[in-house]
Amino acid sequence: MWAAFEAEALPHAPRLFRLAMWAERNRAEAEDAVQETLTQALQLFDRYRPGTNCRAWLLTILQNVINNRRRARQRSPMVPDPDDRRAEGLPFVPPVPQHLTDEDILGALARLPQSVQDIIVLRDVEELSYKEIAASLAIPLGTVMSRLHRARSLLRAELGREPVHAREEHLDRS
Amino acid sequence: MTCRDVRDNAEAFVAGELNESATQALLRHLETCVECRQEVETLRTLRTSVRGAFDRAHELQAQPEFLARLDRTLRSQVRPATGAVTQSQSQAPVEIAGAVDTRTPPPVSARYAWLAVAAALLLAMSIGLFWARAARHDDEALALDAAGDHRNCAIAFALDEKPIPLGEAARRYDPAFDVLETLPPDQISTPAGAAQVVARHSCLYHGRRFAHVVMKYRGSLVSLLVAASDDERADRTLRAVDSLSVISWHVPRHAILVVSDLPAPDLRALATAAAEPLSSRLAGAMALNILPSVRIAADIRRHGPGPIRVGLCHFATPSLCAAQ
Repeated sequence: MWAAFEAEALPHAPRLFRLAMWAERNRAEAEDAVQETLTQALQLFDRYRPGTNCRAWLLTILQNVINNRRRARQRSPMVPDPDDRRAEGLPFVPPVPQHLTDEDILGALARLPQSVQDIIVLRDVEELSYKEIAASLAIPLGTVMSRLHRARSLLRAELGREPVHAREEHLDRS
Repeated sequence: MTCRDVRDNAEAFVAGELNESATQALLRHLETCVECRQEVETLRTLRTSVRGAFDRAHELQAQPEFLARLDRTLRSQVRPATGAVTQSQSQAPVEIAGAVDTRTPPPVSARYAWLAVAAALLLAMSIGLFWARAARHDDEALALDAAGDHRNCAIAFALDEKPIPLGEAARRYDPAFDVLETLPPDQISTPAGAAQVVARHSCLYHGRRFAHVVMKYRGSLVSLLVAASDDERADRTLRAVDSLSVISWHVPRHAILVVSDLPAPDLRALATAAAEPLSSRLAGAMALNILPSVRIAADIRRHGPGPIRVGLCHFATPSLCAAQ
C-alpha cells in the first residue's frame, strides 16, 4: 500500500502545504496540518479510488483538518455562511486596475472573509471543479456557484478599492 | 442571452462548467458585445493572476527539510513486512465525513504497573531499532529519488516542473544550493579521465528538491545531486537501482549523491574527485547558515530608502513589517 500512496499521494505534499500555509499564516501550524492530513490519508488510503483526482481527495481531508483546527482554536468560529444569498445586493464593482503585483493580489485576497478566500483558492489555485469544491467544503453545488460569483466580485471590489500605489504608501508608513 | 445573463454565467463559462447550450448562447453574445468580451477576459486574467501570485510566493512554499521529515514520519507508520498502516492510539483513524476524532487516551491500571515497566524497556529497544530502520529507509528513498531524477531530468527532460537556476533555489528553498554554482568545478580530473559539467540547476522530483549538476564522463551522463537530509553518516554507500549505480554520503543537513549507468569503479573515482572540497564547503555553508528572518531583514535593508513591498510580511515577519 505504501508504494501506491507514495506514488499517488505524497507528490501532492508541496501543494497541500501551500494551501495550509495560506490558511494558517504560520509555517509550523501549516506543517502540522499537512502531516495530519497525510497521516489520515494513509490510514484511509484503501478508500481512495485509483484513477480519480487524488489531489482533490487530499484537499478535502486538508480542508477538514484546517476547519477542525480553527474550531479548536476558536479563532474563526464556524457560523452559517452569509454568502449563500445571490449577489444582487453587491455594491458597484470598480474595474480591476491594469497593473497588479502579486502582493496586490495576495494582500486583497487576505483581507476578504475566510470563506471567500477558501473558495477562490480552491478554484483558481487548485483548479478544482465545482463538484470537487462542493465535496471539499461540504456545501451544495449551487452554493459553490453563488459563493464563487460573490467571491469574485468581492475580490474585484477589494482590488479596485483604492489605488495600488496609495496602498503601498500606506504599508510603507506603517 | 442578455448582458446580465452573461455576467451571471461568466464565472462558470471561464471555469468550463457551463453546459453546452448555455456555452453556445454565451459565445454568440460575445461575438457582438465588446463589454461582455472584456468582462470575460478580465475574469480570465484575474484567475491567472491569482494562480501566478501563489506560484511565486516564496512564503507559501514547503521547505525541503519538512518534506523529508514528512516522508520519514509517514513511512514509519507502515509495517515494513505487510505494508499495512500501523494504527497506534495516537494515530487512530479519523472519520472524514463527520470530522469526528476518535482518539482516546489508553487506560492504564495501577495493578499492572510492572507491565508498564516491561513495556517501557521493550519500547526503548524498539526505538533504537526504529531509528536505525527509519534512517535506512530515508537513505534508500533518497537513492531511489536520485536515480529517478537522473532518469527523468538529466536523461529524458521529462520532469513535471521546469528546473530553476541554483541561485533562485538557494533564495527560495535552501541557501546551501549556492555552493553548487561553482562546485564541483566545470572540469574534474580523475584517474579514469576528465568529467565535464554540462548543466547546473535545481529540480523537483517526487516532491524532493535537488541541486543538480549534470556531467559528461567516460561517454555517459552523470548526475551529482544534493538534497536536504538529517542523516549524518559520512561513509559512502554504493547502491544499485535498476541499471544505475548510486553513491551517496552525508554532510550536516544534506546528502550528496552521484548517479550514473557507469561501472561502479568509474563512478567511485569521480565521486572521490568531486567529494572535496564540495563536502567541506556544504558543511561550512550550513555552519554559517543565516536565519531566514535575518535574511529577510537584509533583503529589506538592501532595498534602501525607497518604497518597500511588504505585502506578504504578515506571514513570517510581522515585527519586521511594523519596524518598517
